[in-house]
Amino acid sequence: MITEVAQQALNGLVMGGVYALIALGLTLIFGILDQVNFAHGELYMIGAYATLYFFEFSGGNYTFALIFAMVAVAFLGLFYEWLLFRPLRGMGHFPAIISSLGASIFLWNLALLVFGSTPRQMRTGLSEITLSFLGISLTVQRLLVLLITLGLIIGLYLMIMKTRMGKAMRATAQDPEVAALLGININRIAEVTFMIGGALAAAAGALIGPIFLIYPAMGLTACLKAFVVVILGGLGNVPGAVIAGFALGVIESLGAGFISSAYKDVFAFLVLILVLWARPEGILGKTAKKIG
Amino acid sequence: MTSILNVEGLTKHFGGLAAVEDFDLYVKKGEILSLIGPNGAGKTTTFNLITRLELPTRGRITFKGESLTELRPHEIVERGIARTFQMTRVFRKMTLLENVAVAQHLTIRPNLWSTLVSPSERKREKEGRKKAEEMLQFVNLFPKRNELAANLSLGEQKRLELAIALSMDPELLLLDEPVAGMNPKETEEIIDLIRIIREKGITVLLIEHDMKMVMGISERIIVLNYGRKIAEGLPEEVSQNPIVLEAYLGRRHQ
Amino acid sequence: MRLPLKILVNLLILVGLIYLPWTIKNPYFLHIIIVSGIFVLLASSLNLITGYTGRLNLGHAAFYGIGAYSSTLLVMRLGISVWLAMPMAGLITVFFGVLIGIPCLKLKGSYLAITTLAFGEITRLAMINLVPLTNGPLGIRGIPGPPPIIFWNSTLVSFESKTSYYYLLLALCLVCLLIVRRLLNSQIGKTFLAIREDEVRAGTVGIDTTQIKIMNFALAAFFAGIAGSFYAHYVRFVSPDSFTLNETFTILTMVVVGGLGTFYGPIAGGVIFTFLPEFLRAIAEYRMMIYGLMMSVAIIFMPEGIVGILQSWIPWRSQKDSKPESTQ
Repeated sequence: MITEVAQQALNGLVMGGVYALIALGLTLIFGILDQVNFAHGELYMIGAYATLYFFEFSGGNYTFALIFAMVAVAFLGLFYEWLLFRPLRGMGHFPAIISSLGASIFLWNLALLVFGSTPRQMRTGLSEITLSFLGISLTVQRLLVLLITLGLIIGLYLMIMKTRMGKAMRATAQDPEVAALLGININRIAEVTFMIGGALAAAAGALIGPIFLIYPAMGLTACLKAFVVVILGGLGNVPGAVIAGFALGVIESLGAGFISSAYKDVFAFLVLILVLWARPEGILGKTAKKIG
Repeated sequence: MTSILNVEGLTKHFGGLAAVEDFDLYVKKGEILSLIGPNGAGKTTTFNLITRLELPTRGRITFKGESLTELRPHEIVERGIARTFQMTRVFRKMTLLENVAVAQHLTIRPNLWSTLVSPSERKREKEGRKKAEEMLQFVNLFPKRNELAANLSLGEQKRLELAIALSMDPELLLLDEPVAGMNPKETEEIIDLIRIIREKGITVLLIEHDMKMVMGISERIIVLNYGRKIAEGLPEEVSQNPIVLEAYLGRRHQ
Repeated sequence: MRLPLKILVNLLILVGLIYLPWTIKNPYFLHIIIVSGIFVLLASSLNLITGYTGRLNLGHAAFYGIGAYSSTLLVMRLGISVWLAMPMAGLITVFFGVLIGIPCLKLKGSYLAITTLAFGEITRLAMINLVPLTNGPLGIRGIPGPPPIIFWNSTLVSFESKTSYYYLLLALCLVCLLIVRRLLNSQIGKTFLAIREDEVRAGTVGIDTTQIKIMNFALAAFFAGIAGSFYAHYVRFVSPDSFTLNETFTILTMVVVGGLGTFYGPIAGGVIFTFLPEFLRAIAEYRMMIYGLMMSVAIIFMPEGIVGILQSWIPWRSQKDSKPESTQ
């Protein structure tokens, strides 16, 4: 029994890491730019497809595929900022929600057309190798997900805390007007934020691709769950997104394993509704509008 | 003396900071009472607490003998208290007429059924429109009645706020810095309006920084500093009070 | 007696609408018009929540679907007459509207959007999974249309042909739109706008925002439910596939591009976006893509929508009090 729980929890952590990566971008965009990106799931989806194509293109080089996918989708994130968000800067949340929603619809239907609705698989061979320890097993792929996720999170933390750009980002999150007065180029910050968000989401897609199937609508569910994570962890709260991401992954996994796997996706919704009912501002709410 | 508003031991803590601390206040029916103090003294917070936009940490507030705790903001308006905002908050994408008319919500008291079905509802709305026009005339904004509130200058917005507040048929009017940012001529006009409002029997509780105005119009003054009441009395008394002077001057030296 | 221009124009349009079916030879064309009428109802109802009150509802297809399924089940499982089932379905949808509206009261912006999205999806999942009730993904076939209206042994109106359905829908649309119009011009309409502009401030001018927001959801749910009920008895088949995110997004596009917060915007949007796919059959696969693109472009470049732009060119008498002196 314990091993079953531990196994499910471990699987949940793997999934949770992926959620955390997606949610991080989302929460950064909210915390630093005070904007909501409803098309974030599509960055994840395109990241997965990009990894697939780079993987096949390179004849099976997963590392190459991962890195190139992250770079490619980082540029897509850049386009997001230029086309969808910059024109609406300072106009509140509503227009940005609509514009990113439109982009989301555009992109996943485009993906449907280009890639077809048949789900794809990415065979990296790493899912074949399983490690076992004390009755708990973990495929190498899943282990990789955990490691790379942790690596990226630590990398992001270092970047935000130690680099000049990170300082500028934190300053913008605190008070955009003062930041601008101090000479920080908000447009540049916005570009970097979206590129990071894109890269992280793409990594999530790249990591999950070999484990599950890749299909055009995968961005939608992922986006919803990412939003749940962000709301749970507090909008703009980076550690919150990480913790909530892992937490959601574990909850989902335990729920699917022990309650019902058919309704797996519903757990995220239920958690969301329950949390928002109890605290409409989210668990940590607006006061957590800070980075780090 | 009838006090229309009674505040006892009002306290508001934000985290470790005391915005308002053990504040006692009474407002006499029909008087003009001014609340003054350096920036951050807790004056607007007091207004927010009275109108239930914020919840007190401690303290009691009674209006005409009835406790105001447990009430929601719109119920405060129902009881007869209206306020203006320091940073003007008008409904920007609505016209001036609509801004004023929407504040008559409680006089018209619409519900779905009567709106759709009853002809007297439409009559009341027409009357409401006339009343809204009168309000705008009172504050000298009638010519701009069909413009969007977003297009008004700051002074005009403040006058609109006044019209909106009066539209609610209040017995107690809370004015938060009604002349901030206005030139002397505009300030004079507002002072005249407040005098007329007073003559109509409406009690006024006023927050202001413009000392000339405060001394000229108030019957009584209360001074707040760091959330505490430090002085209370007639304008002449307060203006000589050394504690008050120190509060203002001392602040300036910091 | 000199009639105001506006009334004359409205009368002309009404006459035109009544005469319309007789000018159309192609039954498919009439079908498209009927479908556009359904979407006019849906878009107008979404506009109440999102356009006028400024609260983004991404689960609107759920109301549509609940209305459709309720009406179907009332008629086919409980044997209730279609004429009774329609308003009942509307009321059932109101019930769910209030049920969803209450937790949404304290939410705004993206929180509200996500929650309503979640509700929409949960509703769709319920349609798929509650098989004993809804017959699952297969849907329910053979839904009867409205029974003929009989007066003294002779059939006045039978619902064999599309024309009768057209007139029924026309009547429904007129009634619903008149109600919406009256509401928007009334004090209640102003409170919607106030809540959109500054909800906290709305409370401080005496508006019970909770009551108004619930009323707003309930109204929108009612009209969407009626639209759903009509749909069920017209197409005579319902399945979860008709009430997905795609439908919600389509309706949202209609409102946004047509004109958020205008009366005619959703009407224009409903008609345009029902006819457009017909003319662009060749690029049908690109339909949702185009909608998404248009929605983004609209909100960035013309947030007031098509109708909003037209209204600013023509000194149209919109529903604002434009001439307050003209009391009598």
